[in-house]
Amino acid sequence: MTSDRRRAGLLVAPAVLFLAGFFLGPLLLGVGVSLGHGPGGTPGFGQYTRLLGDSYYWEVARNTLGLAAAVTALTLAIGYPYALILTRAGGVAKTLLLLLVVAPLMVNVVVRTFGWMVVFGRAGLLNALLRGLGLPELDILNSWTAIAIALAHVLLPFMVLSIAATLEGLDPALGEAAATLGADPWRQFRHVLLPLSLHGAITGCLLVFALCMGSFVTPLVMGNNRTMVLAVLVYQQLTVTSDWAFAATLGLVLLALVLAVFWLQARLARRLAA
Amino acid sequence: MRIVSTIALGALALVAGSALAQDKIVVTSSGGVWLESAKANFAACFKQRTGKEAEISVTASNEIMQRLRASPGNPPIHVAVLSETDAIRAGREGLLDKLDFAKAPNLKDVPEVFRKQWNDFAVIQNFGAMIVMVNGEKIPNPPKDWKSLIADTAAGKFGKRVSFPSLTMPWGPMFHWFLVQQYGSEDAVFAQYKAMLPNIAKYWVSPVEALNMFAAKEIDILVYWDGRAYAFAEENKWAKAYIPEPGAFQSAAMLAKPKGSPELAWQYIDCVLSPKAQLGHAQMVKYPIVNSTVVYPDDLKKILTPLAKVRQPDFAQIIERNPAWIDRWNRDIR
Repeated sequence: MTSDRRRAGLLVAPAVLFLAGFFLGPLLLGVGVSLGHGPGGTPGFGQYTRLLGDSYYWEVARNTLGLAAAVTALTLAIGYPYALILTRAGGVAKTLLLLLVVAPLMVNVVVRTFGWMVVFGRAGLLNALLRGLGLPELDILNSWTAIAIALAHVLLPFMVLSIAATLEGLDPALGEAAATLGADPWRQFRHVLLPLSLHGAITGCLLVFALCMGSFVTPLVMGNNRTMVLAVLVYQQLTVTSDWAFAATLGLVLLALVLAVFWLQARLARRLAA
Repeated sequence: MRIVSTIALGALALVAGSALAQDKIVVTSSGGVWLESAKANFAACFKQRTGKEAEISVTASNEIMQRLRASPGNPPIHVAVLSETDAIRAGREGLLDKLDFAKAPNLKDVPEVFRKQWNDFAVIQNFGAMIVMVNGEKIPNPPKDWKSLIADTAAGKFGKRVSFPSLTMPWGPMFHWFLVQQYGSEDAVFAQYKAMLPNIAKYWVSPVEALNMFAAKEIDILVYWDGRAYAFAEENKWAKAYIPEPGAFQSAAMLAKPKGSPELAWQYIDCVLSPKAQLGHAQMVKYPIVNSTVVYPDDLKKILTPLAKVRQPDFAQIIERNPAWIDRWNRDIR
C-alpha cells in the first residue's frame, strides 16, 4: 500500500511541480506586483482600495460578467442542438460538421476579428445583404452585439465538443427504452437525454465563460469605451500606462470573479446531480 | 556513468550553443515593409561589415521591455527598437547602455535633438508624424488646420465618417499632448473629444483597423501616420494626405543597445545610422530619417514630413500624465 502510494506520488509529482512552477509561481508573483508601487496608487492594498472604491471599475466588472454570461448562453443555445446533430450524424456528414465547428480555431484571433469587422462594417457584407433585400442598414460594429457574436463564433467549438463528448458516451438504448415506454421525442429529450448530458453542458459553459472573461483582442478591436471589459483594462495598464501594479490587481480580480462563478456552477452541478 | 556522460554532453551542447549565439545578434523591427527594410538595409550592411548574421525579430516595444526586464544584464535582444516612452523608461531602469560615439561613429551625424530627451540611452532611427488622410472625391477641400478639422467634425460637417486615434493606442498620448499644445489645456482637449464623439466612426486603437476602414471607404477622414498615408495615397488616386497647420507631433522608432548585449551590437547600430542604409530605409518605408548627411531625392523629399513641421513631444511629461489621461478617457469619452 505504501509502495503504491509512493508510486502514485511519483506519478503526479511532475504535474504538481509543473503547476507549482508555471501556475502558482506567476500567480504569487502577480500578488506581489499588485501590492507594489504604481503610478496610480499607493503600495500595499492601495491598488485594491482604488479599484473597489470606484464605481467605474464595478461597472466594468459587471460588463465583463454580463458579456461572458451572454456569450455562454448564446453558445449553449447554438451548441447543444449542434452537438446533438453531430453525434447523430455519421460518415462524411459528421466529419464535415466537426470541421465546420473547429474551423474558427484554425484562424488567428486577430485575423478572425478583422474578418468580423468586414462583415459588420457599414460597407460590409451584412449591410450589403440588407441593402439587397431592401431593408434598413445596421450599425452594429463597435457594439456589445458585434462583440458577443464574434466571441460566440470562436468559443462555440468548446461548447459543442464538451456536449458532444458526453452525448457520444450515452447508450442509444436509453432513448429507445424511453420510446418503448411511450415517451414522445420531447419527453425522451427532456427526461433522458438532457439530464444525462448536463455535465457536458456545464463543462462547456465553464470553458466558454472562463475564456470569454479573459478575451481582450475582440473587445479591444471591435469595441469602444462603452464596451469596456476588465481584460482590455489590464491590457491598457500594461501597454499604455505601464502601471503593472494596477494591471496585476485587475488581473487578480478577474481571476477571483472567474473562480467565484466556477464555485457557483459547481454548487449548481452538485444540486442537479442530487 | 550514463548520468555523467549525459551531463557532459549537455554541457557540451550548452558551450556549442553559446558559441553559435556569438555568431549572430538578435535585433528587433516592426513587421511588413519595416522588416523588409531592416533585412535589405540594416542586416545586409551588418553582414557585409562583420560577416555575421543579424536575426530580426518582429517584436512590439512593450514586449521587448518585458523581455529586457526579465533578463537584466543578459538580454535576449541585442539591438532593440523601442517606442519613445519605453526608451525613456528602459534608460531610467538601467536596462540600456549609453550611446558610444567611438563604437558607432555615424552617431556624430545625428542631430542632438534625436537623442537628447533620452539622455543618450537611445537614438531615433526614423521619425514620422500623424497627419490627415482624406477621400479627395468626397472632401476636395479639407480643413487646413487641426482646430478647424476638429470643429467641423464636432459640427457634423462630414457625418459619422471620421476616425481619430484613441488615447489608448500606443501613440495616442503623444497626439493628445500635441492637441493640448493647440488648445492650451487638457480640459479643453477632452471637451473636443467629447464634442466630436457623435460624429466619430471610431477612435481607432489598431492601425490596421484604421487603414481598413479608410480603404473600405467606411470613413472619409482618417488621422494617420504620414509614411503609410502617403504610400496609400500613391496607390489610390482618390485618397489624399496632408499636414494640417501648425504641423504635427513627432513619432519615432528608438534604437537602443540593451545592457549586457555583445559589442557587435554597436556595429548594427552604426549600420542603421549609416547614410546608405538610412536613405534605403527612407525610400522603402517613406519616413524621414535622422542622418543629417543624407540628401533625399526629389520624389522622396516631397512626401517626407520636414523636421520643421514636427514638434517633438515632452515624453517625460507624457509618462507622468498618461495614467490620469487614460483614466479620464475611459470614463468620459463614451
